[in-house]
Amino acid sequence: MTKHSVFQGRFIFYFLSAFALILICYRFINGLGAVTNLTDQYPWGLWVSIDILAGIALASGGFVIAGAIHFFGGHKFDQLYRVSLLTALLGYILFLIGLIVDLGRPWNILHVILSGNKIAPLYEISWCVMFYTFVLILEFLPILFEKRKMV
Amino acid sequence: MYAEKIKGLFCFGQNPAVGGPNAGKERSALEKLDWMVAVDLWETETAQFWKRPGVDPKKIKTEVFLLPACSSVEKEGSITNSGRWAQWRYKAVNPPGDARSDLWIVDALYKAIDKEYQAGGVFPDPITKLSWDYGTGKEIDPDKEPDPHIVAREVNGYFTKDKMVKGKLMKKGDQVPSFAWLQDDGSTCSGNWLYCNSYTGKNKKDNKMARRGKKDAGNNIGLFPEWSWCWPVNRRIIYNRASVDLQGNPWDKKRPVIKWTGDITKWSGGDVPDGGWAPGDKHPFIMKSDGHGQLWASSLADGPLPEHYEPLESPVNNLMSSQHINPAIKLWYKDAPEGNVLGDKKNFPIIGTTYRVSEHWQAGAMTRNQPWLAELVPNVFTEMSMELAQIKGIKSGDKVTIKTARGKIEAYALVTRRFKPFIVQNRTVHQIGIIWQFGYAGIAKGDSANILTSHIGDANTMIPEFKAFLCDINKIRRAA
Amino acid sequence: MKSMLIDSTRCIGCRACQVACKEWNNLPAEKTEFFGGSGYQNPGRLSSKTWTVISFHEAETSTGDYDWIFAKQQCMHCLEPACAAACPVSALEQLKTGAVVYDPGKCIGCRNCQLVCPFDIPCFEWNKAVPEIKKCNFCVDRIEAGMEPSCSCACPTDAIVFGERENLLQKAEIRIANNPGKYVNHIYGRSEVGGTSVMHLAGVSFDKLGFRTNLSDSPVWDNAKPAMEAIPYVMTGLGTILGALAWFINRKTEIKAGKEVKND
Repeated sequence: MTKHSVFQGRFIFYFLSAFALILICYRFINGLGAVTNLTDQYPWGLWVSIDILAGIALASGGFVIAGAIHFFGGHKFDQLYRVSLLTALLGYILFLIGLIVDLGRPWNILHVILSGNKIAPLYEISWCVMFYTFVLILEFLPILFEKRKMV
Repeated sequence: MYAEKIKGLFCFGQNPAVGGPNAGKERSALEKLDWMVAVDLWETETAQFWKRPGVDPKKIKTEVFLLPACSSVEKEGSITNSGRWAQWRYKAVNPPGDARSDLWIVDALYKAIDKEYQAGGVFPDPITKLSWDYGTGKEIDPDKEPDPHIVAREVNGYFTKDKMVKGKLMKKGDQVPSFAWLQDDGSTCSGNWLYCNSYTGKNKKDNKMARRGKKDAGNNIGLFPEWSWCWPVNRRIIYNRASVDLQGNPWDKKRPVIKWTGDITKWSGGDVPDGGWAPGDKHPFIMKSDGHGQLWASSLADGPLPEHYEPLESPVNNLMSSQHINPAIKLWYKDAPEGNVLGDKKNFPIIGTTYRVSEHWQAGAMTRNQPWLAELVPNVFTEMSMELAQIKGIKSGDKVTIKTARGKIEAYALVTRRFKPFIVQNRTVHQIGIIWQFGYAGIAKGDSANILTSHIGDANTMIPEFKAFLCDINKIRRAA
Repeated sequence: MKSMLIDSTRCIGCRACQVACKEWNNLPAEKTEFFGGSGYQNPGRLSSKTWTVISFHEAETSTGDYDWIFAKQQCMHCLEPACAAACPVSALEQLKTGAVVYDPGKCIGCRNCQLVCPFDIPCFEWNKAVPEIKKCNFCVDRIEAGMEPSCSCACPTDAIVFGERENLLQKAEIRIANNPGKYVNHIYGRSEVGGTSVMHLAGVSFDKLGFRTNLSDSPVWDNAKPAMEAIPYVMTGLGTILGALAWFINRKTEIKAGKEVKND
């Protein structure tokens, strides 16, 4: 096996991540208005779209590929299957992290189940996210445990 | 005060530093006092004149005392309105900190002054011989509130000795029933004859000012004679004999004020008649020498016929009279010219006037210290027409300077179509209106418009000409 | 169903209602400079600290002069509130009294209500670590105690009156009929977006006072509701079909594998 060359620019991303972590802490202490330009006139920012794009949209690609491989593919697509599953799972996790930061009162998130409102689109979206993430985890668990030969 | 003829000032709930005309000179006049006692709920502009912006407190010799007063809901007493009603009010809450009622403050002042005069003085009798006892003892006690009922009973008046009046024996200490019973031989005393009849007995239930009867009088015109008490003798409408003809029949049959109902019942079913004489016995305007109402009065300093005069500072000629300004007004710019300069229409071509906003009350101490009201109107502003704004290059929200011959202020500009230029004597004359209720104290601060007005007193009332003066206005251009 | 009728022709712009609202709800004063809107308007808009505001509008009078006309901005307490429909956790609810109230115990702070409100009312506490959505709550605690809301109580000219919706609608119609030419012949809020508890009368066209006049009479959620309600069925249906397909394909694979075993 050839040695994979590691992306040397990764330090830039480490730095950006650290900076982002500081901003996230600041956001939780001082509120959303302190780190965003959101106002009552613009309550949702561009980041919601980006979060969904980078998270859910990316993950949906993973779903489609994994699903297609599952139904119509053969063993030669195994690597692709695993990678697309992982991408999808990471996408959803990224989305969930972004959501927790974006929500003003994330500690109430269980109320989507406890007092959910069936005609609200965000209700439908929340349940979809819950199901899909659950499914992704289930699909990914075998890969996680295969080294231990539990599967 | 400016000429140092007045040494000290007791300033109870007044704020001349904002409300007085030519406020700049008034503030300077305060500096000439030896001492000043400000009694107010807040440290007003007047109370803190000695540390106002632009002065060095070290250079001011006035000794200033600030006595915290309490608000009307923090004390018991009566309030008289312009309808002559004296309504009794009760204490709802304790005043905060060391704040005291005016009654307590005056009581304490008397005791302190009396004590000083015990040791001698130029003329001690008027102080030391005062009968003064409102239930708080001889010493000043911060926890004892003088009894407003004792004061009210004294204002009504009482008999100082037994006396036979109108066939009835009045005992020493009895309250005087009404001002007709007041004597000129010292057997009665009364703080104010107008209020004689307001408190006719020793008990609180005899306090007519505290009545809250909701029953209307027989004439049903909304008189409500048992709601509180009004002076004199609860007569709600003065000169009401003018509402009946010489036979005592009301001119307006649907809304009679009083009505003669015969020799037994006399005037009944309505207001207290303004003079109980039979109809035709006396003309209704009983305080006038001939009993008649007057369109013009001979007792005024100017008149008697009405005439048009221009304000002291005016941009136009007087077309109606050869006398440009009222000849009987008090002209301080002649008597005390310093700081009382008049402005000419060339340098000050714009008419200035002052008015109020509902959100602020008078000189603003009570409202510019309230966050919710300061939120509504936080700054002093001046309103002007679109036309003037265009000439001066001013937009709403710009800061402007307004100046008169006496002083200048800064304010925000509000450009509005509600103002229109005047066309007077074929010339366009502009006007601006400034809110006068601001000062350097409080949460909401701003310059006082009265810096601009002048010391001039109305011929009869001495009311200054707050509402008409000449000024100029310019946009403030900050250095880039 | 309680309602409020706000008659702009009676309003004198005194802002007693604004102060009464702040006082009853213990809201802090905002730091203002000069004025936030036309005329003396302050603050410039609704916020988490300002639940109602009077806007000033200059208009020409019959004599050719200019004077102000006033409009009151506040939550309209819709009969079919879009905010309550959009909220995924049912934190906004319309009560029987007509009030649309907010429960911070359920709210997740997603701010979807802010997006869907046709009147742009809900405000968010952007600068708090524990933020809530704030808006007029119709003084629901006062209503439940048999009192009227703080603003209508404070109004010195009865420009704001409170009562049963049917009575107020009648009152409004009588006012319009008895004063030809004084009012625009429209009760704003009678039918907009399905009707609102807070209704307005005016002497000039409502768009001049900042009201949205392009709203349809159907409730905002009318289009979304059928679609949302169909979702469980669609999901179940899809799930069944795909499940069947999966089983079928699996079966096919199994049979194929079985045949291979047999053939070996």
